[in-house]
Amino acid sequence: MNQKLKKIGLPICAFVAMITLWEFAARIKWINPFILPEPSQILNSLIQDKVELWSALGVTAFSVTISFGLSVVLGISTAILLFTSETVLYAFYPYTIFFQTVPIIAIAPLLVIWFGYGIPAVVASGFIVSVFPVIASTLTGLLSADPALKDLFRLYGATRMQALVKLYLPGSLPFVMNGLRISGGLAVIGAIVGEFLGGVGIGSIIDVARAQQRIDKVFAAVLLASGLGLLLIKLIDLTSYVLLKNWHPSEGSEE
Amino acid sequence: MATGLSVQISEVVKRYDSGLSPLKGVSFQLEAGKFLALIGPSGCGKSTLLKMIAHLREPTSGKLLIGRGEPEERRLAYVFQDAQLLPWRTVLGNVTLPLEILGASKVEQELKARKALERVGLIDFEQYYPAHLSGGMRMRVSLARSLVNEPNLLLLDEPFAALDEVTRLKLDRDLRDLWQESQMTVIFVTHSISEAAFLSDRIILLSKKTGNIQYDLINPLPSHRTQETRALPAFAQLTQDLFLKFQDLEA
Repeated sequence: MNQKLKKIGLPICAFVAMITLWEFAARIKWINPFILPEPSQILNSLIQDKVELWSALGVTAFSVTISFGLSVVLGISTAILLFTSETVLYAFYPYTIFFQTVPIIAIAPLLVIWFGYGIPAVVASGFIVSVFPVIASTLTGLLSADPALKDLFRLYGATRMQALVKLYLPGSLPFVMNGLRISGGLAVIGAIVGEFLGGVGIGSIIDVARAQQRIDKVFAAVLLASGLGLLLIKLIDLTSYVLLKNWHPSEGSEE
Repeated sequence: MATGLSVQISEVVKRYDSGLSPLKGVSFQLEAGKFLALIGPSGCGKSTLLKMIAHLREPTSGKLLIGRGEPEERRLAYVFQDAQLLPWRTVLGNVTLPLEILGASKVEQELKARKALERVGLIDFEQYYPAHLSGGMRMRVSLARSLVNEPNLLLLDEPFAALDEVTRLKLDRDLRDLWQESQMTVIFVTHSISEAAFLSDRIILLSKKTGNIQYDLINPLPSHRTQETRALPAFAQLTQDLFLKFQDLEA
């Protein structure tokens, strides 16, 4: 109990202390509020611009959901495809790394040209940066099946489909969940980058507010975007817990 | 209950790409329904031989004939050194697995799985996950899984090697009883002399040096075995005899 209190209480105390110090420093002009507005002003913007901010956040959340969903579905299917055929694996795996290395900020304008302003370009941007961790981690998971278990399935004459569904896929789940955690955070970043140029959502608000020198509004928007990412990762954590709690040490099942 | 399968092995050679050749022309015949213990030092190829009997590995040359050689008469089961359960499935789900793969109905799967769990004394644990069981219990689940399709040839690869001694002695007795209730043929790989002596009808000692059978004997102990069997002079004699043969190999 005491330990739990520490784990929750201490971060809250630290947060309050930092915010107070920041507010104080800004008020007595130690820091230029134009560069770094005081917390109360950010809060003010959150309240004042709430309709605009929250509706933008809704748009961003929608795009993130679609791009993350696409990454999960297409990432896992791609990994299965690569896993099923060695020819496909050798031929195409090197190119999936492209998704990991592409400088998204540089190709975002192209996405706008290809998909037009608005949500489609944003979804494409979010998808491109978030799909690779899903492919890579799922593939690693599929390739990590225990050799003895593979023998067991062979012994009973399991078909490839049976082995995939009953052995390889469930076995890869801890790896997949790990990939999704990374991918979720990246999907939010990718979407915001897309929105800078796509002209919608929180990313667009950040871009416009910066041009208008409304730094408090920039901060308010950034805060909401981080909150969105946090929420997504917490949802993935929860899913992971539900799926793995009975059998995987990473979710507290004892060996 | 199904009749066991006979096993005929002739001139089996296994050579690896590395040039290492653990088996250099091993031959023996095992009658149906017998309990064979295959012993030898590490690296003598006993596990490899077992995998070849299970058709999980191919011999470099030589022939293995299981039963009459017809795939449809073969109902094999294999028990690995670690229990090798699927951690995401419950005890029951692990035991039904072979029947699931073979395409049995759900009702049949659960009926037979419960029967197998009863035989290993784990009927009250069917909803547990492997992570919540002790090593001995996991091995029992593994045994139940191997019994569920009523195998006519049961292959075990040092199954109890990682367990504590009390658990191991108990599982040895249970395995012997399970075999006596059935008519299956059993091949049990171990490096433990006393385990081989307690369990088997026949013992084959493989030599790492010659890559061949060093010693092949019929177990002289009475066929009904209990904990007291281990205290018999004949048991001491047999283990001592095997120990000396084993020592010869090392020399």
